[in-house]
Amino acid sequence: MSAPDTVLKVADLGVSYGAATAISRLDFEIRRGEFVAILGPSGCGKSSLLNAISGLMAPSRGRVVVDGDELYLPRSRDPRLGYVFQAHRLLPWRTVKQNLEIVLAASDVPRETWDARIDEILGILHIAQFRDSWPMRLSGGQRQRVSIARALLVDPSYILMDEPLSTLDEVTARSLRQELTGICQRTGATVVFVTHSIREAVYLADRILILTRGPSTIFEDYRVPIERPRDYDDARIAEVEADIIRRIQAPWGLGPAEERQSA
Amino acid sequence: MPDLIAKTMPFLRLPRPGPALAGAKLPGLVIALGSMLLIWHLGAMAVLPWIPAPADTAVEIWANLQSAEFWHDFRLTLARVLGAFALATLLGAAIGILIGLSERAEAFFQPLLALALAVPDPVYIIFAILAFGTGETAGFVALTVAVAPFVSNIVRSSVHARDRGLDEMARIYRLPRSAFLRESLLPQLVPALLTAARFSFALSWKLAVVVEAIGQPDGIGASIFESFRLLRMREVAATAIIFILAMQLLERGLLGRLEKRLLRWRA
Amino acid sequence: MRIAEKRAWSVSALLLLLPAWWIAHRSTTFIASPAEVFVHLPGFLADPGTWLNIGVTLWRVAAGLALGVAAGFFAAFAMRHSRLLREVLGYYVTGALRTPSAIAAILAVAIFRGSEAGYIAVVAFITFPYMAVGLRDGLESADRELDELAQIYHLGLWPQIRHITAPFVAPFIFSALRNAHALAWKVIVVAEIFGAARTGFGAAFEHAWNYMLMVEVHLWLLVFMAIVLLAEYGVIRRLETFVFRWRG
Repeated sequence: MSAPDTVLKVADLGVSYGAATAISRLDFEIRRGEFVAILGPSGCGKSSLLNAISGLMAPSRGRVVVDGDELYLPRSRDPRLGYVFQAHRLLPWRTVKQNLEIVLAASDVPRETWDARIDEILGILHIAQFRDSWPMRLSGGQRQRVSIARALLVDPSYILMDEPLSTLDEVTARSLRQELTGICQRTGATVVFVTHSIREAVYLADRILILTRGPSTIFEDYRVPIERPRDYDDARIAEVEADIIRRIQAPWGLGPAEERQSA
Repeated sequence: MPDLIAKTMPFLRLPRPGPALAGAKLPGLVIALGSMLLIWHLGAMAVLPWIPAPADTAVEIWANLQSAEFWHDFRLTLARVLGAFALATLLGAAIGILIGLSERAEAFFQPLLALALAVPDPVYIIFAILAFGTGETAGFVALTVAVAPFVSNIVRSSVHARDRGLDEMARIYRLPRSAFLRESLLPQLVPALLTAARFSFALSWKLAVVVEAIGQPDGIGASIFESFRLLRMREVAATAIIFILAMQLLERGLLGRLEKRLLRWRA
Repeated sequence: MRIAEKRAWSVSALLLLLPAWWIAHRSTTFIASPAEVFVHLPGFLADPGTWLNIGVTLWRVAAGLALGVAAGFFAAFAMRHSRLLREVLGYYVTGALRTPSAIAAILAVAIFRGSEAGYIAVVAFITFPYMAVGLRDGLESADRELDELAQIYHLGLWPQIRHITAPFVAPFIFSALRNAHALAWKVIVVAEIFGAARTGFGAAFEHAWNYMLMVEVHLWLLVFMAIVLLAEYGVIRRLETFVFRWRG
């Protein structure tokens, strides 16, 4: 039995394409309000996992339950999710506000409340002044903020973030990373955050699901032993990062020289 | 015809050199027109009366522009061109989107499109005349059937090349099918649709001439062919030149303006 | 979707054409029955006159296309050579692009007085701008690449052409060639009909139509389509696959 505040439950999940197995077996649960990072080496079946838990593609085996509704049953609906993609995936021919409205229209939010909600969320993300701009006129960081706003807006069961900061320059990524924790606390959002960066995972997450090399299983469900607020440059973060690197060296098959690549 | 046609489309916007070329523009125009006139003149001297002299043709053009009969034909042909253009573009685009989105529909329509493109245009025209008589319907149908497959091919390639990331986005945020088509797919297709529209327009008015020559008593094509039968080459040249220039201007003006409007979101 | 299912859909589309043809035959007076057409097909194909007409048209298309391709190459290289030439030739290319093939055919008949050169000239005239523009765009894209690569590696002229220009320009050449080829077949029929040709597909087709020999009209159409499809899928696309086999 899962706890009553379980948002996402993945049981006995397996994905294979013909003879090739991407995910051999995964079991985990995510609770309301949690910030969980998923950390895995390249080629660990990450996109298969994302597709399976977001409802995009049925797994070969196992169950995905979002907010009590099991996905991939004949009559189940797509889950209500927020998704922050690696690239922003905004509609370039619609303004920021229109991009958000399209999503609101698709999720039965009463029309009278749209304006207030949009203004509130844009305020939280500090992009209220770009409400009527076209995405192409914004910087990479601003576009990703809009993308996060879109994910928060639909009142999702949980938000899936797929390396959302990996395409940004380090300075921009830093400031957005810093804000992200605060935003999630303010909105009470549940986040599943996929990343290659161990330090990022340690800084942001309550828990880190460390996957093995593909075909993946969970190598370790790692609880980050650092209280909030955290400081990205704090020595304790570096310590935990070093600890994790030590643990994964064998299962990820890393020599010391390869550490950097995976980070 | 090849689906690669979409890639070679730039030719439809050919004479639009960038600002860097501005310096060569005027001399280019002068030399081009001058040399064309010279070739024409020499040709006319060599094979008169088969090639009319440029000066005579100019006089004829002027006379045409003031003749009510010419404008009557012109309006008639223009209406036929626009009608067939609109239907062929809409129909072709609809089929293109359908086969772009559904592999099944593509497998079904692909061989039919290939066959349709291998039929010579006069055959369409002749069969349409046999089926519908010499009224307006025959030309309309023949033009549409001949032009639509080109549009389908261009639009299909563009649907294939769409941003699949936006498809996923639309599914994640549960956009209804109508919203997906309207907000995500159609805007991505705009450049291809404009290209297809240009192509379709150019093809429509070129074919309209053939249709009228074969099966209509009136219109520009009929008048050109009639002049040719009577060996009045001056009239052939004059009518053709006015018509070609007018269609060129129309295409640049209308579709050019539409393009600017539809693509203004580009930074 | 599985390849077998795709093929099944394609085949069923083609098979559906037969009943459609038959229904069209039953409901009109001018569409011959498929059975009758197929009965006459072997005799039609065995007739040397058929192949003579097809051979003439094929020759006109091949010669016109070859001339058009050559002129297109020439124009494209000239356009790359100087801005002025680019501007000047641009008007010629536009002029050719904008001339309806029926009008080109009429003028060619007038100029060449019905001689063989007229048909070839029409095909060349109509196809040349497509080659010129396609190749010019290809050369431009290669130029940009070439500027960077050649400067870094100091490549000689031959390696430059072989490793940079040719691979870059080849796709442009092929797509232009495919367009030009498809167009050539369309144009030649118009030219033969409007140019009052005495031999060739267009002439034979028009003759059959004027005398209302509907079975013959259908036979000509079938053979014509078969040859166009054979040339495109059997020759041009094969060649393309061969040239681009390194793409994997």
